[in-house]
Amino acid sequence: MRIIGLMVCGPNEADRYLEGSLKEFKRLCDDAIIATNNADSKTIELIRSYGFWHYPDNREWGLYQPDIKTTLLEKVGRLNPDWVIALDSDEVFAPEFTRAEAERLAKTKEIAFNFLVVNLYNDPDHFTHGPGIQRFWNIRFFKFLPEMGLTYQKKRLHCGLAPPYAYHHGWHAPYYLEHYGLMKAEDRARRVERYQKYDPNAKFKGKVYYDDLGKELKPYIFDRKKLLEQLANSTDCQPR
Amino acid sequence: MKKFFYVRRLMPTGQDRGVVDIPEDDLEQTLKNNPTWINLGEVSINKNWEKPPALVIGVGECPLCGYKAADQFDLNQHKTKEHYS
Repeated sequence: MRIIGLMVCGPNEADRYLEGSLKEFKRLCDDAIIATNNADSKTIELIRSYGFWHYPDNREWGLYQPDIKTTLLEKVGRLNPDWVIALDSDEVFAPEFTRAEAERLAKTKEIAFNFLVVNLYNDPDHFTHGPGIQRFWNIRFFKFLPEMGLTYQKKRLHCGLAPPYAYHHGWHAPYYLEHYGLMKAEDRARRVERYQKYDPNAKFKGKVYYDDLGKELKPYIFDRKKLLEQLANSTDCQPR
Repeated sequence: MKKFFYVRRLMPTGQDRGVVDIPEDDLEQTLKNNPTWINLGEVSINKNWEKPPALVIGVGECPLCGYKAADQFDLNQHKTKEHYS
C-alpha cells in the first residue's frame, strides 16, 4: 500500500509547528508533497531537510484556497497513492495512530476517515470546547479516487483538506488529532484579522466561531489516554 | 453512488449564509421548506480525469514537472536542484 502526504504550508511555519507535522508524514507516509504559499526560505529549507517534494503556489490564500488544494491533489496523484494523508502544518495525530493502524483502516470497506480535531488552548495540556471553537470530526485520511472528483469544495475558506467525496462518505477513526493553530492568543488574534478580511459576513463559517476566536474561553485538561479510550468505545468509531 | 447538490442558503432577509451540500434525497424537500435557497447544481465529479502514469521507483518521473529521471539518484538530484533552488 502506498500512502502519500499532502500539505499546504504558509509563511514562518518553521518557527511554529511545521516540524511536528513533517515528522507525521515521515512516520506514516511513503512520500509527501508540500505546496508552500508565500513561504520564507527557512520554512522551505525545513521541508527540504525532510526530503519531501515541494513547490510554491503563491496565489492569494483567502481567495484561491480550493484551487491551490485541487492542484496539489492532482500532483499527489502522480505519485500513485492508494491513500492520502492530509495535514495542516500545525497538526499532529495521536501517536497511537501508526502506519500499521493506517493500513488496517485502509483495508476496511471505508474510503475516508475523520479524526477528532482537538483545539489545544493556551498550552499543549489543555483544550477548549466552546460554542464556536469545538472539538470536531474532520477528514485527514482518504482513499485516492480520482474518478469521484478531485475538485475541492468551492469555498474560499474552510473548504476542508479532502475533496467532497471523502466528506460525503467518510467514517470515524478512533483517534484524535491535535491542532496547535489556535493554542496561543496571538495566533487567534491573527485569525480574527484574516477572517475579517476574507469572510467579513461569516459566509463560510458560523459567526459564533469567529466570535470565539476573540474571546478567552474556558480551558479543559486534555487527558489523551482517556479520550482514546472514549473513542475506542464510541459507537461512531465502530466498523459499520 | 449517492449524489449531492450545492445549495446557497439565501435568507428571506437577503442575508447569505453560505453554501452547503445536500444529498439528492433531501434536496426537493429542503428547497420546498426554504424557497429562497438556490440550487447551484450537482457536486462536480470530473469523469474525464485521467490518472497520470505511476511513478516507478528507479526510473522515476517528477510529480511536479514531469521530468523523466534516469534513476532514483537522478530524481533526487532533480528534486533538490529544480524544486528547492
